[in-house]
Amino acid sequence: MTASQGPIVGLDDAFGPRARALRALQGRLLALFAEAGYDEAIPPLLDRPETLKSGAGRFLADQTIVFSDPAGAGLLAIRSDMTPQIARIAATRLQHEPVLRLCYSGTVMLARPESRRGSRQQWQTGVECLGVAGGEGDAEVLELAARSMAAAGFSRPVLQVGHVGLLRALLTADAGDASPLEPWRDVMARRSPEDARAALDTAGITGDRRKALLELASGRADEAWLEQSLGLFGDAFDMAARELLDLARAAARRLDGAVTVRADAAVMPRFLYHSGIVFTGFAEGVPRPLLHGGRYDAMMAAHGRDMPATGFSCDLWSWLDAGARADG
Amino acid sequence: MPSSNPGARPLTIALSKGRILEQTVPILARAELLPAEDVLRTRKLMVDGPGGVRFLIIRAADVCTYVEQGAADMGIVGRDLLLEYRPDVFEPLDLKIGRCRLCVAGPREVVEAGAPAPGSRIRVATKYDRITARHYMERGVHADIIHLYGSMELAPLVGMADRIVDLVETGNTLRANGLVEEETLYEISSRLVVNPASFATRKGLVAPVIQVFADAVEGGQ
Repeated sequence: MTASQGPIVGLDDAFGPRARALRALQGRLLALFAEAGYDEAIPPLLDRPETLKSGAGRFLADQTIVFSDPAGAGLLAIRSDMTPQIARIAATRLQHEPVLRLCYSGTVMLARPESRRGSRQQWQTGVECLGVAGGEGDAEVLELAARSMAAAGFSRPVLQVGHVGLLRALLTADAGDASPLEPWRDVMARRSPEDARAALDTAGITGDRRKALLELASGRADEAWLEQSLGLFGDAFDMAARELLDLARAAARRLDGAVTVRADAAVMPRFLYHSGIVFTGFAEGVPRPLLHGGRYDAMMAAHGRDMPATGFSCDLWSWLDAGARADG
Repeated sequence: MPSSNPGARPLTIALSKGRILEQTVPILARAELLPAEDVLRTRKLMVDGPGGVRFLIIRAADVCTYVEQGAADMGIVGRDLLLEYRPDVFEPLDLKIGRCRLCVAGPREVVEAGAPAPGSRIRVATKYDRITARHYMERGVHADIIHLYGSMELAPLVGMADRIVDLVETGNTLRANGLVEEETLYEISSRLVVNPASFATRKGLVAPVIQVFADAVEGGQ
């Protein structure tokens, strides 16, 4: 083997049992999505950089590989996330459909591995529910995420559900402006009360809001805390808390123990394009999150069609590494 | 693996060897979580504890990896390593042990000449490559990082670096080698860290252990 035939860090071939396992798992999930009324969309691997790097894509802009098209189309980009492409389809070819339920499954490439030992290639698989506002769409997508984990045979799956509006209300940040949330996202994602205290001191936040943000950072902002906090932090907080409580309770009822659904106000989105409900899926014995999802209404306008949107996605390679199986 | 028996795996806590471990043992004693063997003397790397808890005794620099990879549910690790490696872990508790500072230091004449000007180029010896690079990048200084595994103080003495970035506890080693502190970058202490997936899927086991650690830290103040 010459050096030029050796593996590239973060990229990998699959064949034999691993390739078969991926296709079987993909088939199982796509069948589940189809049963729920989701049509598959297959966008191209390449797209215009402005499609992939605007709106929801702007948070992955530095992970998107851009190159000059030898065929003369100008600059092209390799997708690092399929959500912006689904948004583009909704805003163009399918713009006359008031409600769109689309699913997808394909390779996305990252400029660098996301985690310290991660891969640069993901087999992103997920759904986007477009045009269904509020709790109805959230419940549908959350349930599909739960059923996907159960279908792949994960043991004791857990969905942690939060709401971006809670942090926003506690920081009294304007809707649509993500920048005040940015430093707090990291503090909450690390559930570090110590760092939260330092950030609160810097920001000069005192009183009940300080106490509340410390509860979030301590991982204690659960359903009971949300109940107790109603009426204390204004209408925006109450609206978000009620949305979250209603969703978590309804999902727990419908899933009937197959998947544990737990409200936690400190659950943060991977990227701050989410505007409402956000959730992360875990399973016993798997050290990393299995899926991420949530509502991103505010981002659709940037893609050319202002409409409610919610969805989730996972990486099938990570799922296989975590022991997922299609006959789960 | 999804097929594994979730009840079979004990709650696993990774402890950092060395100076931090000496200060961890009294906290474990107050938390009634003392390992079955003397962890300061044993050569075993895995030791049972009370109530179905298991301890791993490993190098401090490896604790983040064990917890991030899920081989340990929880761990005790210095904030310096959390800042350097930024592992994907929760940090629910400051244990208030292993206290020291992460500092820039250098020979007296270098420090007295003042902080490096924006646009200047310096050589810094450290094992904290990322923290150091970030610190100087924010100040517009080009820092050539010379990665060392220990005895940073030697690097300026032999002309290999202008400054060092390292942990300082008493400052005795700096003084003994003719170096002076220039700037404190971070106050450091050890933290209890938790794998986020363990926090979600084993909350019934993990949350009470965080609480007994919190009570033990409080009791030691």
